[in-house]
Amino acid sequence: MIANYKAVHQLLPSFSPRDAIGNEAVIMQRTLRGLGLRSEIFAEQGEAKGLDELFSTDLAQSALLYHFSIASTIPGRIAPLRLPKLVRYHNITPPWFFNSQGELVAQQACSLGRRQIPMVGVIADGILADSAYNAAEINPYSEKPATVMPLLRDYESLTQLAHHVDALPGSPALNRPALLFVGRIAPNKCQQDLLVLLHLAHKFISKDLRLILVGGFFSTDFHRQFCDLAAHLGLRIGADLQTDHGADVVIPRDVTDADMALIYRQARVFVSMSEHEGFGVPLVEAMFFDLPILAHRSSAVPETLGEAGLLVDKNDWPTTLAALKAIVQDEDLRSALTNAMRQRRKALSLSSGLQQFNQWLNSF
Amino acid sequence: MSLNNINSFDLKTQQQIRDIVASLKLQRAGFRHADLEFSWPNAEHISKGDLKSMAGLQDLFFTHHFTSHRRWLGPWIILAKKISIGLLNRLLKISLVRQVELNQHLWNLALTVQHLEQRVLLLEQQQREMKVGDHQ
Repeated sequence: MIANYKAVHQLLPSFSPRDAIGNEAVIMQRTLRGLGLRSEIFAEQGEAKGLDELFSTDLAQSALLYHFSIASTIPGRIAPLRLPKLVRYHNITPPWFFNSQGELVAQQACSLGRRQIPMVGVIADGILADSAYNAAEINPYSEKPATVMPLLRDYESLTQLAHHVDALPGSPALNRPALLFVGRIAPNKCQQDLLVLLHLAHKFISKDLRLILVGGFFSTDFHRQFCDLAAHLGLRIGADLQTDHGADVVIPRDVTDADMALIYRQARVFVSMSEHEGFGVPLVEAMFFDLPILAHRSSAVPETLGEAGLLVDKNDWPTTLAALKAIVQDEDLRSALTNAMRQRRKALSLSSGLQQFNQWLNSF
Repeated sequence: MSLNNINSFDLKTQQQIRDIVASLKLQRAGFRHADLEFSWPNAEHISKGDLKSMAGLQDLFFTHHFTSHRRWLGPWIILAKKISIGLLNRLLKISLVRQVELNQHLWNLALTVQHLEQRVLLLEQQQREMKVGDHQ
């Protein structure tokens, strides 16, 4: 029972309260402190206490919760400690997505990270996975099967932010129907396929559609490849959502939470061609904004979406385009998808997640 | 939600869509996909700066990797590396059985050895391909 402990400390390779994993760590910290436990966040890098401080902390009657998402020294350092070790497995991108010069370090970090999965599985006294897809990766190495719990995130606060922004006088509106994807612009997310989809959509659906990509480029090599393909397809890339009306692909810079909420609110469809998602936070965010979703059936995407979106097979471009056309133009389908999303998001809400988290903690 | 209720494009349009995507094959070839086989980055594209950014044994491996392309010396270097890696692996095996108590440095070293072994196999394959190329 967690009541037998005085502290549960969280460990991360790097911590920022603004990214999805950091944000979850903050929510977990708040929950643990609410249970009367001491709870600190230690990280190798970032805006948290340094990992070395953990070893000078009084760890009597403590448990450790390690967020495993990339290679780090943490498993090796905590393995000898005679403390319960809990692991939150967020998945690690397979290294073969990264093969260019500028992606070599990421390739090594992911490669080493995936090789740490057996070790982390062995040392874990309990595992919490974002999805069944993640659980299946680590279960072969652990004594007890992982518990599946969606990533904790306060999606409702983002939607409330959108209501607030909408109420402001002169709120900007997207002047062209937009396909939206949110996530780091990287090989595993396959934004290049979104360019192809937009190119096809211009030919067979409407010339008016545009693509909004929220996220930074992962590497200069990918940036170059992406821009080359856009140029070949005759798609102009812009950075200003409000004023650059001629840009077919918009990659806005410095997007705040309020901007993000507004973009979700005003986009026409969320499209994902990603080939590797351990969970898919933006898919859930889209659900909370009633934004219909069209996604490639891969990794954890089908289980995150459930019935709340249209899933298509990779390389089945005619079906993908037909589904996109239907989502963009068919109001009945949009309404059916909205209803499905409202059902699905109950299971993914923060309150539901916290309930599962508390149950999991009490199972020790 | 099922795709059954979605109206498909007519067959002619479907073929047009496939043709357009097929015509982009060359432009899309450079992007990585999950269905592609793993291949090590092209050695010529790796700069010295990148090499320096990689630590310890892996640096050593890369240095050998390049020189091993020398036609006569290559196979001997590979043999020497295989023997040394084999010995190192044997030394580590006892520790590997008790992975749980390894400290991170030892663990990383073990991983590196595994990594190197895979690379040696790749190198051997490259050598074989090079020889086949010479004969052709």
